[in-house]
Amino acid sequence: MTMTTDLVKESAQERNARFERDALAFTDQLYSAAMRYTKNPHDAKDLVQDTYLKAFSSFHQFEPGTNLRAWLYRVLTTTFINSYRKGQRQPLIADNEIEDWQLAKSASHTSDQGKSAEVEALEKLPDSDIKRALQEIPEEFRIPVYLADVEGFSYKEIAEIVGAPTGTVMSRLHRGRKALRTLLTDYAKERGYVVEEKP
Amino acid sequence: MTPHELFGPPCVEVLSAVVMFVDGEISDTSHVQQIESHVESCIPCRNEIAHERRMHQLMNEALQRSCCEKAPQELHDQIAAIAHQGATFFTEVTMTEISIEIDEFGQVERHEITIEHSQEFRLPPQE
Repeated sequence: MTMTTDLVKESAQERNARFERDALAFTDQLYSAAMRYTKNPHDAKDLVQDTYLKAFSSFHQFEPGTNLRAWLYRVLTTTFINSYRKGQRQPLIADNEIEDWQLAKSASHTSDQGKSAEVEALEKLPDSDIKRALQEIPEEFRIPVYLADVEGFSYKEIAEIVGAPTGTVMSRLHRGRKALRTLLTDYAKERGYVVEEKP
Repeated sequence: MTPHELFGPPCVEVLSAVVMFVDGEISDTSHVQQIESHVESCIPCRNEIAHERRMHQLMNEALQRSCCEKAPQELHDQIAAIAHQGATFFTEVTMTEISIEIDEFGQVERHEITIEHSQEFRLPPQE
């Protein structure tokens, strides 16, 4: 699968052909991510198109042999942050966010009842509820969760994609997952799948 | 040997690292070993890690199953056109020129000229 590319000798035409061969395969994947970012098909389509336009024009900066998928996600995410969320900018999270989640998680062991409620929610809820829950969490948490749990990127890769320090990404990812689980457990209770914990 | 080395990390330390442990993101191998030896003798922590692992797997499966829209054909076609025919990249530059003149009566006149800047990609015209 690895192809050696002699960048010095490569003509613009050859580079375009390489782009067509390697980058186009990610269209569906990027579209699905764009749907989670923008929450609607119209903006998702525009975002993916802009992403490919930018990726195409800066493809000479991409180093062959490195992770093309991660590079395309970085273009997608940067484009989204810079162009698609103007006017809905959220305040930056305070510096103490890392300590915040560490304290929250280190409290105690989870009760057995709490554990089974979380598992049941995930096993029984329809896909539409999973999507709805993901839409509900704010984008600074939603994006790291998507990149880690759908795309399988590492903390370090996500940090590069979103342009934030690894510690910040880690904190947002953990808090995002926690929020997602809480929402899903709530949905499951609403639907009567999970019996309320007795006081 | 300190008490810490003798008895390993307390539950609180293990619990605060559960998510990173399950994500395989603890690069310090001695820390990983400490957690592993702690859970050998601590059932609540072992259960916590098993639960986290199961939730992690279930969550990944649920998300991957739910988030898999296919791009519309129209989008595939537009992107193929970008790659095949090449897109045009327009750049416009912004410049603000400020000049201040003081005339012989000591009156200050200030001029400001701004030129807009924008970057835009344009698709080749459709045939």
